[in-house]
Amino acid sequence: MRTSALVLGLLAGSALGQTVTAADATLASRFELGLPAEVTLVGLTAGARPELLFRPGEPGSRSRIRLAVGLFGGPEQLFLPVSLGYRACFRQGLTVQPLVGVGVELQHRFVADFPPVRSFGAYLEAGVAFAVAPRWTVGALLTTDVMFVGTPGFGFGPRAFVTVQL
Amino acid sequence: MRRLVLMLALTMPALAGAHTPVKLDPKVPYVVAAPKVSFALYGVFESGSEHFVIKLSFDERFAAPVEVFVPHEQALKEHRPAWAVVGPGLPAPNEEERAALPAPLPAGWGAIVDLDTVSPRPVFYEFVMRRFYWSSGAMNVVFPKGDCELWVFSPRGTKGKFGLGFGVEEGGGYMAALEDWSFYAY
Repeated sequence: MRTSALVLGLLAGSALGQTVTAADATLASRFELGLPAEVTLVGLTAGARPELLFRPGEPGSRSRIRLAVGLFGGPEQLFLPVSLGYRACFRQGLTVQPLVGVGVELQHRFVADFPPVRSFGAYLEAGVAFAVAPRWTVGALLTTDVMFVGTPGFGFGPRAFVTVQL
Repeated sequence: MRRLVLMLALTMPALAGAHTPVKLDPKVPYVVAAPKVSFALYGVFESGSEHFVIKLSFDERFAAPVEVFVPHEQALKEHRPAWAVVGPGLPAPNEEERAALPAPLPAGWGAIVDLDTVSPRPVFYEFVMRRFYWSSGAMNVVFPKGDCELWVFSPRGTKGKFGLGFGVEEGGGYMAALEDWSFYAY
């Protein structure tokens, strides 16, 4: 686990033109855990989309690798998206921190009497985080997605989150 | 936000497969100006006793699929609206169908009726609004030349939303859904 996380960090750091050095803080401090609550406004559902953020660069750097798995329920369906992407967090160390992100997403939609509907595509996110305590931020994002493999579609929705740096 | 939705929707080629959306009022018959166009007409049974009338006119016999669908919500599990194409020259309905019709047939008129009793109930996923629906199952209907009507009614008196899909040709007008987003999307 530790090895794979380190490899992931090295790959990500290399891909972003940054170098992971032994002088960096501990590996754990590179991770952030987020617990966003979200509503999808196209195909109404609401739920949580826990996310793991990894900082490949130096402390205070902007880049994060993001992995998120959501579980949403709505009047018509159960929605399970899995996302992998990049997030840029600006103005690190200040109270107000704008965020933008992009990535790929695999979506699953379930009802009891119909085969699962699967789609693959891209997402965009933009918002702002507020540093409310050391290592803790809260904030809000707007997200959109466009699915172009499998069942096509377009979606958007608001997300509120709390994030803690490990 | 609305501008963003509009922009992305316009650039999404898959949208070309959508129906033209229209909101129905049970008090006012809806006249279809271009009956060969693929429509999705949406309405709500508020009392369960009302019925919706859609007026069509064809310059030649025309075959098109027709189906009624309702949102795939537990609360609407027993809500199974029915439809009928009624007009001169159509076959006489059987006794069960005639008894279920919401109004007497005018003299000389017949009807093609689907009382939505198929089991298991068909389901489909509508990708533009990302919604699941129960369907009556699409039935191919040969509409007669001249005037006819489509009736949508609730034979069991159930209440709730429904949609009526029919027609085959692309008609545009998809952005109408944005003008009443909550009605079409939820």
